[in-house]
Amino acid sequence: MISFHKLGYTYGGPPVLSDISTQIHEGELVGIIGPSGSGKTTMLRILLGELSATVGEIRYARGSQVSIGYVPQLDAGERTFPITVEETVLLGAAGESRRRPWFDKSERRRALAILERLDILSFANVRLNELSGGQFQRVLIGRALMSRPTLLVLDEPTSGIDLKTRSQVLGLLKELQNDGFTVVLTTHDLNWVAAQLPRVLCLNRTIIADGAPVDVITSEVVTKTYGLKMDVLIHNGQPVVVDSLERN
Amino acid sequence: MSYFLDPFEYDFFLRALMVSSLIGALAGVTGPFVLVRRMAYIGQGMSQSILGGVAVGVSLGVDLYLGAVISAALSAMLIYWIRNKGLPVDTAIGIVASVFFAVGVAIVSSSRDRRLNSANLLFGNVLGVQIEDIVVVTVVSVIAAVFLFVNYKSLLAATHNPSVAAAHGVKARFMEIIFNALLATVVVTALQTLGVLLVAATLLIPAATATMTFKSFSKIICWSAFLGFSFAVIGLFISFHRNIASGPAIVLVGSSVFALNMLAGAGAQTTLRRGHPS
Repeated sequence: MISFHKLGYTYGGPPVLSDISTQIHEGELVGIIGPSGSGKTTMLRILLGELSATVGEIRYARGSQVSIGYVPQLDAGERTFPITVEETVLLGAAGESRRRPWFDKSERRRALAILERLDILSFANVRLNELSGGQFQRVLIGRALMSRPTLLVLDEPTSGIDLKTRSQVLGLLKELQNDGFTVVLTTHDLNWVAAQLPRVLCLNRTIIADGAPVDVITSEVVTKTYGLKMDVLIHNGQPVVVDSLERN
Repeated sequence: MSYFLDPFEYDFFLRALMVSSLIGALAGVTGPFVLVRRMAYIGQGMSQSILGGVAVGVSLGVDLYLGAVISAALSAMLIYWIRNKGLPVDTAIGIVASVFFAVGVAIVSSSRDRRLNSANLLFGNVLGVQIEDIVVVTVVSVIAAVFLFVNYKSLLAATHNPSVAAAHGVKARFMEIIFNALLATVVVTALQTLGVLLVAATLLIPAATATMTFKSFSKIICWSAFLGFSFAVIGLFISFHRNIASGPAIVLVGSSVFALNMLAGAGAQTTLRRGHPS
């Protein structure tokens, strides 16, 4: 679906990203992990078209129509905006909607169907600041779905929400993957990613490792990615990252 | 009844009513976007900066609106330039607006030109509305109405989150530029009615009142426009009968409704809490 070819980026100083070469296939659920400043957000911004790679390029598979639905990090500014849940979801269609102030009946029906799919229909006429963190995250996903995406891009979707909600959001993303969406997300939550996602990409300015968590999340890779000695245990067949005994 | 009919015996009142009501509705419909973009201070700074441009323009024999437009554009560029030098934006606005305002006050205080009446410039003077003012305000209102009708959804999406809007196909950067130009135009055209010191209040009070009352942004926009229009009309009648400047009259009507709305909201919340002790 999408290929990164020797992609690099610099904001003027040392490169933030260099020699990024990987592929994202249709229907995949991929997590990009790495510490702060590792280039995760820059990679997403290039994928979104906000930035142009200074070296290399992104290629799209012949004949594939990639449209992106973007879910940003939870932002207090967005949440205090005086707007209802239904209006927020409808905004996902603003780019393709007819040029008049109201949305068509078909667009409103689609928005309500998305709210029902995300189990937040009863909040349609509620203001965003009255929602819990998990409900708000679902609204942002709903807005992205409203843009009719083939690729969902989520920036730190589990940041700032509780454990139960985190599990629900991940469950929802897996359901969306099963529905045929391609999903790319960033996270700094190693264990959550290691335990749950089918594929992870460890990034620290360049790709350190790429593959299934059980193959990729090793003490060596994690130490190289985060620059900090950490141990990896296997629990129920899944890797769990813990503080290194050597460090303690 | 004569309270409402007597003012129409004077031609200037009808002209003033046309301009004030259009400006009220225009500020009302623009205000919610100013409010949610947290641009209140920019609106205030821009309106104060205009005084310098108007004073320089009039003393050079240039049209009042041209001086206002040039100073609004110049102040916006200076604010942008100072901010890019690493100072916070509110500091940049504070410095630029104060300097332009000081230039205006200095020229007005030393000038004998009757058009540079400090009270009229600061607080508005609808008695001085001419046919050309009505033309300018009508043209600006029509342009603003068409822009908002066509671009409402894109502007709202770009205001809510520009990065998301851009990813979903909205020209977010373009919306930003056009909205800033629209705001500057509204501020300039409101000069005659409201004066440079009270424009920001007229942008914010109807929007804040509607925001406290309604959950939906589309309802907030509609009610803010209606409230802006109503405050202007009521304020103008009070201005006529009480012989006070139009700007303060309009702002005091709006702020009274805002205060009553707040008290009513607080009362309703108290009643709700008593009814639901949990």
